[in-house]
Amino acid sequence: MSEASRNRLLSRRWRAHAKQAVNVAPDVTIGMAGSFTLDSLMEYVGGQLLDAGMGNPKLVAADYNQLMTVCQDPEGAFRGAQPNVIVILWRLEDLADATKPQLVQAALEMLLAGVRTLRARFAGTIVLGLPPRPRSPFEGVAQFSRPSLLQSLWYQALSAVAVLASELADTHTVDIEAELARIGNFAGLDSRKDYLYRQPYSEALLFGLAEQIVRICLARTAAARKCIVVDCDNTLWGGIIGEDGVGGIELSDDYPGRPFRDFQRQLKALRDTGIFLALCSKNNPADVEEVFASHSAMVLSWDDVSVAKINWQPKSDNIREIAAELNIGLDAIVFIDDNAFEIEEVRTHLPEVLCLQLPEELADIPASFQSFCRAFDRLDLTEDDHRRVDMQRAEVQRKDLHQKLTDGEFLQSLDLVVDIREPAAADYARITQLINKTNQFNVTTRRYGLEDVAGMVQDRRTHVYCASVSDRFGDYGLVGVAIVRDDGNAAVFDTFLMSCRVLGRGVETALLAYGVECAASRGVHFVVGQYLPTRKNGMVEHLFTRHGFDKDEASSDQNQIFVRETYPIQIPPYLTVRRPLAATASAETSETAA
Amino acid sequence: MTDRLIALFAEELDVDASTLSDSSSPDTVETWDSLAAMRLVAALESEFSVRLTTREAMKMRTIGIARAVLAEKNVKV
Repeated sequence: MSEASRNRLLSRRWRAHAKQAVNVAPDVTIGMAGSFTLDSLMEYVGGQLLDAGMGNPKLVAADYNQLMTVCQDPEGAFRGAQPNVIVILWRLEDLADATKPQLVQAALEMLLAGVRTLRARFAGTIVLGLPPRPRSPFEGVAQFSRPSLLQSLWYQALSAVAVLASELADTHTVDIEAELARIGNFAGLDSRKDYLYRQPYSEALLFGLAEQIVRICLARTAAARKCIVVDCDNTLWGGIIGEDGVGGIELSDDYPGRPFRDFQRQLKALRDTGIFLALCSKNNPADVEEVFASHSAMVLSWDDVSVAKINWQPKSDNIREIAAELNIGLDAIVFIDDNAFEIEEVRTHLPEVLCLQLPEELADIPASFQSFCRAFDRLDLTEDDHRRVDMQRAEVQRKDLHQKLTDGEFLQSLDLVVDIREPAAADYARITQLINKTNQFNVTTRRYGLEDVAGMVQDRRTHVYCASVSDRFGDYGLVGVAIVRDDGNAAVFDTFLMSCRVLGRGVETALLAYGVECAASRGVHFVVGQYLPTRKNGMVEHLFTRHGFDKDEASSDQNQIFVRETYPIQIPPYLTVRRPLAATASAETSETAA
Repeated sequence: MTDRLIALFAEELDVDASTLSDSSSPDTVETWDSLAAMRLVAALESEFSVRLTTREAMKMRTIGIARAVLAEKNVKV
């Protein structure tokens, strides 16, 4: 089937879907606004979302070229449709009279300010188009030997949009120019459609642009894969280690070793964003380990491998064990092998595992894996994502130690350090992530967006504290958040939560103690805790009573209130707590309770 | 045998081919709006490997005219 017929089929599928009255809530509602005609693009976005398995995506268009209206009044611009995602696509030359660059510049500044306004008024995902190179018909007519003002403005606009997207929460970009570079201007631009319908692009280009948008929409909600299980022979390197030996396998910076080396670089890049890497190979373990230890062209090191299953068992059995050891679901695993039989064996026994058979053509391996990498799409990576693999390794070492010691000895031997501080701007993303995904150790399960967190940190009557934890095996990262509001003579814990990574370490006691200590230093006499039971947060039911709070008479089952005077809370002796002095909350001191 | 041109218009206009004839136009087919017109040009170009000028695109107010425009380009349907 030609590309054109595929595109037509897909937009037909979307039109058929859009005509039906579906009685279920939409999976996602996407509001689209453009400085050019978006009708075909929207059909492709809708069709591709259906293809990706969404049952009921919904698309709403704003009126043509009403970008500022969308920014100022998103609700009204989409006629009350309440989108989860707003897409804004624009061309510089559409913003104002393209023959007057000063006007375009002013309009550009207005649009960028408008996007900031939209961020403040709209809670969902923003997808912002990077403007394509200006192709106004006036370009180069009177001046050709250096960039025109409009061209220079384009360079500025690109970096301004990139900076804006990195500053604003949950704001992402799509790139028309990159799509044009991929398929070529001749195939991507269509001046006839521009003059007839104000749609300057070909169907092929719009299809590709739709793919970029859809990828973002899917990554918002998809449970991303967390682990890559790879075969070794003819996958990490060319040839068979058991036959060719370390000197004989193909792995270098020249053909035929280069595609394998590039593939390893791709795996390494994913590993560095917190994706686990596991080996599953039918080999002698010593042979594989020797390659990792001694082959000079290896990109991956043995430390990059979280689990290695090098044996002659069926690969599906090995993958089951890998999932268990990493404590992740089978649906979080992808499996990569060059051998069709192995792929089929895993597919048959573990249908949840996503499989990629590497292409026979070596030169196609990196590109084939690159498109496959969408399985790992996540929108916002935090510092903690980058460290996840190292943290998991430390966890394995902790478990080994714990098995040898009693609980008390174990905690003492960990050398736990809790760092408590008021958050810096760099912490907001991680705090927001914790606030939105912590279900178990979370007393109120209140969810806040990044802008809310920033607002509460600024607010003088609200105090936000966060706790990072480390021990002799490594860093747990930022794992605890407390939000305290002053209310007359009481300080109320609006939010108190902790990542389950540090359960049973007494970290909650240190954080709670600091909140109480700060309240006391402000002259507040009572601290108030609240427990709102959910199906998942039973583990914190007794958190406050364990720390000397009394249940208030005003409590109901669904809204339990606890009160305590602000005398100090005892901190476990095995914890080293570093925190700013409560009285000044600026000077840093160190305290080790005896 | 079904008429390829009618079949293509039916697909792009989301209607049954039996409801269309050479005299069908935006006035007789409800779904033939400006968006459909845009789709039809893309579909005709890819299906019959031709390139339509903007004047031809604007002129195609009926299926019969489209047939005539294609005939001028030596496409017989």
